[in-house]
Amino acid sequence: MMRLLLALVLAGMPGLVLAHAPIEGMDSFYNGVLHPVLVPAHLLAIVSAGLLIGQQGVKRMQAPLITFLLVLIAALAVTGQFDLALPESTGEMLLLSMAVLCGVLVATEMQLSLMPLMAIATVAALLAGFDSSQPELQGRAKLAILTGTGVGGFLLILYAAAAAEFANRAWQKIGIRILGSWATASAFIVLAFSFASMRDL
Amino acid sequence: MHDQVISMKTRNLPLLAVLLLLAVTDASAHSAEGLAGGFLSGLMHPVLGPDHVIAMVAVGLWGAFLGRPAIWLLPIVFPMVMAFGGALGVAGVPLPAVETGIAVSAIVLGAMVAFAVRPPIWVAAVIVGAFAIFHGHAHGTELPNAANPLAYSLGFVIATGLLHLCGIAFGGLAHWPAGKVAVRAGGGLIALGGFAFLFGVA
Repeated sequence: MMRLLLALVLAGMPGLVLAHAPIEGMDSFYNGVLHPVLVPAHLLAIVSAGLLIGQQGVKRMQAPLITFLLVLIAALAVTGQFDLALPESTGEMLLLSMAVLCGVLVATEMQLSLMPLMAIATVAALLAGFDSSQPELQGRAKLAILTGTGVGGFLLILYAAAAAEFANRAWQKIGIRILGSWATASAFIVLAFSFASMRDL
Repeated sequence: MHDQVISMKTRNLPLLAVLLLLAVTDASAHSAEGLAGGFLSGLMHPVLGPDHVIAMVAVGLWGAFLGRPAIWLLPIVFPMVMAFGGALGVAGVPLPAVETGIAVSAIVLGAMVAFAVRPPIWVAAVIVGAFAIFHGHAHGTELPNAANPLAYSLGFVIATGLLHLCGIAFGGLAHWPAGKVAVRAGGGLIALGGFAFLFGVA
């Protein structure tokens, strides 16, 4: 549990610095791999979805994970081909909404049937994919970074799900629920701030 | 006040060491120092406010003292209700006597530990949740000024959780008779600290 917590904290830190900007001096593929890890809204949404999927047990986690992978590949392909992208603030708000929803479900250790899980995996993958547009890149560089984003996004949800699934002891399960509550709290406050800012405009 | 900040730093030395290591990582990154600053200011906001620290530690202490399921339920409930208070803060909804509420939270939670009060779990959750709103509001009010709101939010939620963990760890001593005395004494000190903040002594 502490390893997972530290891994999440350490993974989140550099991302707070880098946001969507590629890291200079690093090749496009690796930039893409790190993208879902280093952008806080992506990290929160994908990790919370992964924890939720992993909480359901190994049998019910397979189909949602495969769905996530396939939909993420499709979304990245579409955004790469047509440069479709969510407006930045909209993308972040939707990802944070996903994090709030999944975080609450993780914190309450809600057992879900397959269909809601598939829906959550699909929406998370769509949001992550369409919020990873790289219109400033062309050709092989764009292909590499989007491929990397797919790999990074899938590994992130896979590891989160595996961590939740491996958590068998009572304190480990509670640790996962606490992570869910943290994700919910962080995302909810920023969502409230976003809505307040829109109201004040 | 300054002395108390220093003493709290000393007490949480391992935690601060971890936080400072993380800070170095951010400072050496490429750009957008504002984002790192947002996270660090969020991380430090609860840690460097002694009134927040003692109340958060008290939550963990009380949870540990009450045993299962409170030891785990309270740290789950607190951040989620704190988020509601934070949302009120960022939305500009005024909450009267926030600082007083934070000081009173230390008094009440410390006293619960000191007097070994064991209410039903839902009562404990309501008490802790009510105070969480004050703490969340105080953190949330600072959020719009942060360099990066999401980074700030992540920072103060994680710091709050780690402070709970400090309390839970210390509260683990309650498994032994002598440790139980130490934990109750810790609760008493927290309550006294709360009085000091309430009356402006600290």
